[in-house]
Amino acid sequence: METVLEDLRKQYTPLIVKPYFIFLISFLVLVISFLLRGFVLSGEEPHFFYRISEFIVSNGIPSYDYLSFGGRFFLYPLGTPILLFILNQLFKVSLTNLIVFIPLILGFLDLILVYLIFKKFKLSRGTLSAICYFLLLSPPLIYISNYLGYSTIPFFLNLLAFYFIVTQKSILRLVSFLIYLTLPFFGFIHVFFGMILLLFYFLKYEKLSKFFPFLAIVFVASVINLKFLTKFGFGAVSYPARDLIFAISGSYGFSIFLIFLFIFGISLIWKNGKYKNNFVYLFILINLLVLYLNFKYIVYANLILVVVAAYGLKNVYKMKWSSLLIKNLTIIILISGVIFSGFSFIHENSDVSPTPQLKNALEFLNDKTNPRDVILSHQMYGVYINSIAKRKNFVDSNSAYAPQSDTRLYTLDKLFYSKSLDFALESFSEFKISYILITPEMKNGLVWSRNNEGLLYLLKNNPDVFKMIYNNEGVEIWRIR
Amino acid sequence: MKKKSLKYLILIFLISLSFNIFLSLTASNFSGDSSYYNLRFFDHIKETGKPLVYDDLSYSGRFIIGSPLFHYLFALLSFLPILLKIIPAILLSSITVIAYFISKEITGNSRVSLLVSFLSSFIPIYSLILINQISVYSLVFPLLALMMLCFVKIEDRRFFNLFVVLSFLLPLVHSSSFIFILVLLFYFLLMISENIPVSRGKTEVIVFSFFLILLINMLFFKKALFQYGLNFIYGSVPAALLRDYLQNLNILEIFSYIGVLPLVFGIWGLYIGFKQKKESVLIVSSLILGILFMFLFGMIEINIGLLFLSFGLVLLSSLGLKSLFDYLTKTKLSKFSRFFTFAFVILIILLSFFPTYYLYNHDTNLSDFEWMKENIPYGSVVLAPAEYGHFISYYGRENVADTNYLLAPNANDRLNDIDEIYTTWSYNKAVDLMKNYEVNYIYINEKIKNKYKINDLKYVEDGDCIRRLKETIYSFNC
Repeated sequence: METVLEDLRKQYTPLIVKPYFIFLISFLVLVISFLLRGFVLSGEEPHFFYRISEFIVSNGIPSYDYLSFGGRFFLYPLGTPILLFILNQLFKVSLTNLIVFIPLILGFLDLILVYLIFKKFKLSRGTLSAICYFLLLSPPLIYISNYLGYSTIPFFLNLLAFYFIVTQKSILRLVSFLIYLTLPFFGFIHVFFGMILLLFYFLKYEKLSKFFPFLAIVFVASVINLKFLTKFGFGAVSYPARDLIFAISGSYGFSIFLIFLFIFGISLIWKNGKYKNNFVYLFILINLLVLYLNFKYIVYANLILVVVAAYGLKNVYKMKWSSLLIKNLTIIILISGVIFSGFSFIHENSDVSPTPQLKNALEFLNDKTNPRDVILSHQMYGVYINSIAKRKNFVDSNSAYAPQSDTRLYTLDKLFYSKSLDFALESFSEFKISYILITPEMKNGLVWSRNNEGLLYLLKNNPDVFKMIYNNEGVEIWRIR
Repeated sequence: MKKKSLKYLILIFLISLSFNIFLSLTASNFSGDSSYYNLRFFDHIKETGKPLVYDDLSYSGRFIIGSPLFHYLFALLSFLPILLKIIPAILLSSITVIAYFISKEITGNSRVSLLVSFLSSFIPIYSLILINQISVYSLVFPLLALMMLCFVKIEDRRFFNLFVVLSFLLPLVHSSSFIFILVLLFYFLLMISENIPVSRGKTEVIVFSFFLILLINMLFFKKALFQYGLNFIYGSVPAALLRDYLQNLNILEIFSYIGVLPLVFGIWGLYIGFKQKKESVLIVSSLILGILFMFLFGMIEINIGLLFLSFGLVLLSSLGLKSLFDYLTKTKLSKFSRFFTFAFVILIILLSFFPTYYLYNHDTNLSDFEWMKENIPYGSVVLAPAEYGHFISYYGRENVADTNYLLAPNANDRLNDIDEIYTTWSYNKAVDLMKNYEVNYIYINEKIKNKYKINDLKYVEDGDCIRRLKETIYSFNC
């Protein structure tokens, strides 16, 4: 078996490290989700950006969002919706098509850029291809290449700008400066990653003084965001630690096998340079700290993870093993684990969201309700209530900078599980809630597990207060009389 | 291996096998509720060729996940039903051989190893979870023990190859392969803390089996991992069950399940082993530490934990015994060495064999469930404590809860509600809860009455919804 594996390795290694092969595989993997789901608008973030861009197209940039959290200040990063607006106006491509195709194109370009950037650092072909494959199969990259999210465009811009920097050509560095200048419009974390990467790059490979002009970007970012920084704070939203690992949560966390390879990678870096690599440890530590504060940073942390993990794989491969069989099997298991995580994530995200049943219910709400009505549902449906039903939600996933978000989430929790009619009516009146949207997922574990828990009990047993006005394949809409 | 030792070992194996087969064949039914769950699983495989994915009788309908190898293997055996009695008995008896070789590795003493092998044939906890039962642990237990033996003797190419094969098999059999990961991690930590270098070969197989077990478990338990996260490991044991265990925790009872001899000599052996800093002892100690760790975080059912814990203690007893015999050789009693060996065998018979025999439930009475099959419509919901759930579903009726907790809907609430229905004074509360679960019948036998310390349901006379059908069965119609 050992000889067979070695023969296979010798036969196929030259092929799989070839750039065109890497890019071909990348495209095929990225396009799988689209083939499974269809090229349709799907997911919370794309629907959110669709609503915001559509609003900008028709009314310009608003100062107040009347729909989210029953109404809130318009404090969203505007980079993505404005870019969508510009592209829409320039090329006359519909917003839906832009939102569907941009992630796929940029995801593919991300991988090309990562390849080109690390090629500049003269990495071995094996390590370079491992970085590309690991990145391709990592849930965070698959996520941003499937859904137009907060990080899809800025991640690409960051990579593009950094690539121009590492080319060391003056004109391209100027272009990169301009690109970096656009990053503040996408949010702090993107500027932060860009700047911290540049700082460490210039410190390690060039002169620190070359970084100074880029401080202007930090200044611009501060000026642009100063107003709501001072008024509303950083808007960091806490999240459960399990979200960081894809295998133990449904979110786009790290692949668990990449984490283990990362540990092997760190041990290699330590073995090779010990304290000489303090820069690297510091860089990783700072990025982990930011990730702790903001989950959306995972896209950048993931890039660092895959790079170190690629070194980890190299470490495992170069290590002296007493048994070649165990070595080969371990490497196969580790690689299989990474592949499994990637395809498992693709599989988990292959359904259209919202489902056609939910979409019909939301369209029903749009037809039959008043624009001032507030709809109560689980926070994961909030964005859809805004974008498809075009009605106010009680809560949604964008809780950063939202008014009374803690109170609302607490009330929502109490409303879902309390059987007190008085409390429910009081809360409905306080937050002007007129309708309740219930999905089969909410009844099957997302909120309740039994038919007569909390609010479900109230709905069933108080026909004089609640009336079911819609029921299609388990998606229910209840009107509060 | 000496011929004489081999003869004795074969004799011990045969004694153990006869004992296990005798208990299995003299019982008309299988012991343990999980046997009936597995029987239903085998029937499903035989009928469809596929594993049971959705069980509409358990928890009134729920998804089932698990590693499939055990069920396919035993489904094949079930074509000849007698094999379902014999094969688990053989597997359980194989522990004597494995225990012999591990303790030989620990002590290098054949006589002590034979005594340990004999001791390992009669651990009282076997009666509760292994003897005359179709349990996945009939396969997991010897496999895990064999992996430990292979790990101890990893430098030998044959054991190395066997270890590689078993690393693939164990996670395919059951998720308790995680126990082995914990054992390896604790072994690594103990070796580091004791400043003993871990050989390259061992490090490699640790890394290899760690990732392999992780990957295979992720493949089979992806859904459970998404739902429970890391709680998946202990999510299978509901809090209500743990609470019950802790409330009724009886240290003496636990000791009686392990047996006096493994407990005394095992703890003594543990003490000696740590003093000697012997690698093979550290592996066995890692098993004990791993199980204690799982106990501490509620990751394992008490009885299953005790099974592995007692095995670890039996193995460590070899050091205690060796030390005792070494001591005796230094005294004037050395000429009575054979007598002491014989005396220890008698002690094993008195303190392990008889407790194992008497702890065994000689007759599982299923007549009530057979009655249900004849007189209650198929698919009716029957309320009973979780430990009767699999009996109910085996006879084609829906249970409210059973002991397969992984991915069970609201297992914790259900266990609490079942307790409430049996113990409450309030008729309205009980009716409300039973309506929740759409209960049609209530099962209550003497054991259930003893469990809840009741003479009967306290609210039966308070309304018209509950009617007695038979001494042990009520109908609920409201």
